[in-house]
Amino acid sequence: MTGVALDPKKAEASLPRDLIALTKPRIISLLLVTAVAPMYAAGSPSLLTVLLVTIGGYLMAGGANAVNMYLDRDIDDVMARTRLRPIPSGRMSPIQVLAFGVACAVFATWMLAQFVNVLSAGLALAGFYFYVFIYTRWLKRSSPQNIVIGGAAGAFPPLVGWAAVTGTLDVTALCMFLIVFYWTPPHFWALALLKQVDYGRAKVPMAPLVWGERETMHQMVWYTVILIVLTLLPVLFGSFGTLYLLSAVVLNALLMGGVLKVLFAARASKPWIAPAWWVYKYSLLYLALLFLAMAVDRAITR
Amino acid sequence: MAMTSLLTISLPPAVVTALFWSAVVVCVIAQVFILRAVFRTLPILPSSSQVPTPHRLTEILWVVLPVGGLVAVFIGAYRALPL
Repeated sequence: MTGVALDPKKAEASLPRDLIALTKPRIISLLLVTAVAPMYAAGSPSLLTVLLVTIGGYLMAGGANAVNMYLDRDIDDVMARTRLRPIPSGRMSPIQVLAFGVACAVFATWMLAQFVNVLSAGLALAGFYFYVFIYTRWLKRSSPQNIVIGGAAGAFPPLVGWAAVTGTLDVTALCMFLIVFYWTPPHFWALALLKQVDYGRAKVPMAPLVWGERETMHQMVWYTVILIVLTLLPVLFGSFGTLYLLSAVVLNALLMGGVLKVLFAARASKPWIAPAWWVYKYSLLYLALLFLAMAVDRAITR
Repeated sequence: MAMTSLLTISLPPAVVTALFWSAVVVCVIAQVFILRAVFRTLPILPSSSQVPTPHRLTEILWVVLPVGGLVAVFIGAYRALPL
């Protein structure tokens, strides 16, 4: 597929759309929520600072996603889920995608360092390197812990947002980081359970292929347990109040209920695909609402 | 004033301490089960697996690494507790 000649007219017509597609905008929307909400939990940011972090965060994450597509172009061609991406479909060349990704990251680093602060720029760049080199280049194809450790890349946005307002990091910011980190396994393993055949075809050692479905479901439960503890810990040391606590309790109950439903369905030899889809989709809403609850709680108790 | 007291949570120090250490214990138990899975699953990998077979020591390292983050957050949380 990478040897297919590019049709200039077709390529030109869809270039803006393809450039946006390279950034994986649907994934970035959640990353931006987890970057901006902590800003309002940390303090009272100006609209300009929020806009700068949003644009810088989008470009950095988008650049990382583009470089990810460059590095994964061989397996993207094999998997049904990714076959229509710009490189495997022949609409863009690999070097174009790489150049776009790097350019986005360079510009984002400069913009954040120049107009926000060096710490947030450094943290955003660390997230980029983590995603590109630790997750995509190294762990994705070598370990079922790929999305666990690699998931740390997606946990940098809260640190970026917090640092953008305070210029520093504290235990609440670390909590936010770990919340996203421990949210990642139940979220991505729900998807991995559903797309096992695709990942197997691409020889990506996702957990269900290495550990089996049942063990993956057990692991989802244990990571969700730690996630729940981490979401409630900030209430103990006074970072958040009643509104956040009530929101976290409800959101956590639904998430754990969903994860257990997947496990119990499998144990009873009943269909677990629908529950797994529910966990995957709900976990996206869960994280967004949890972080929104943090921001609203802080706003009304400040 | 009454609204603010409803929105914020104020617990007796003994309750805060008990909840904190309960959280630690729960995380330790969960982490033990996460680690145990590495020992339980690797030996039963089929030799004809299409996907790369991870090395057990590496897998243990990846499971243990996040514990450092948990330890750091619990230390930070303990220091921030309103006791």
